Amino acid sequence: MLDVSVPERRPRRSTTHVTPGGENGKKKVRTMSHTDHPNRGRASAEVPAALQRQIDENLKRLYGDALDEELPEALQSLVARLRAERGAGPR
Amino acid sequence: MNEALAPAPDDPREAILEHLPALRAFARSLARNEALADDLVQDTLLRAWSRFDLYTEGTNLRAWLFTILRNAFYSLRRKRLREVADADGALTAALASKPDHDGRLALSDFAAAFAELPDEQREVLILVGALGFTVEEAAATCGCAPGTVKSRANRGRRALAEKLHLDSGDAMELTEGATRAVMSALRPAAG
Repeated sequence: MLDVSVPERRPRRSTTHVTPGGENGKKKVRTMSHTDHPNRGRASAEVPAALQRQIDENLKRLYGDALDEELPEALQSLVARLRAERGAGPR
Repeated sequence: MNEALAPAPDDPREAILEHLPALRAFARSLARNEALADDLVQDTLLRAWSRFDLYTEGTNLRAWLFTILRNAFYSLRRKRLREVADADGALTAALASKPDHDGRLALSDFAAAFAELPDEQREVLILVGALGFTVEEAAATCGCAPGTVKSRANRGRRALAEKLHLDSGDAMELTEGATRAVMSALRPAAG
């Protein structure tokens, strides 16, 4: 099993911006990464809708198989184990 | 329905299981390695199941689960940066080595171009483009503003169009054979 921990904070490369005020006086916190450049003019041009649809369709083809596949044996075993442990004691 | 997904009565955690296929798809797009992706999904299931008390009933369960998986991926990547980068390079090279051009774009070309995108762009494209997340759901999952999701998705699509030399008039026709070849390349060798 992977040795990972639940991170307490967002990835370090991100920059957090706090905007005072806003709706109902609440501060707005947004996280942006080094790949986000809101003032770059080139990024503002939207990709044509037809091309967006083609790209999305290809993404569905590329990863859509995972939605229809039977779960791998290891994952099925884990589900079975979790259900069995539930029956053995309180949650 | 898969037998492992057969519902058990009165346990709200059973709702987690219906999201496992979509979690697998998301994990594959992040990890670019099927074995690692399945490890991430198992880890996510364990965490969500054991800490279901952290989930607020009535809120978006799917976004909560995807956030757990996303956090696990980035945490793992920080710890194993070199291993993940090598795996990415090997996968990308394997995909790029298939000369399937016959006047039409093969899925392998698309897959290779997609794998080269920054993580932040890949994840939003999968969420909103392939898995049907709304912009707001994707923003909640990725911990950013909806406008940032739109921007990253647009950048990702523009980058793909440039890498693949497409404009709005080009159709990306994919053959069944090319699709099967790419999916075989994504799976580890048997044995």
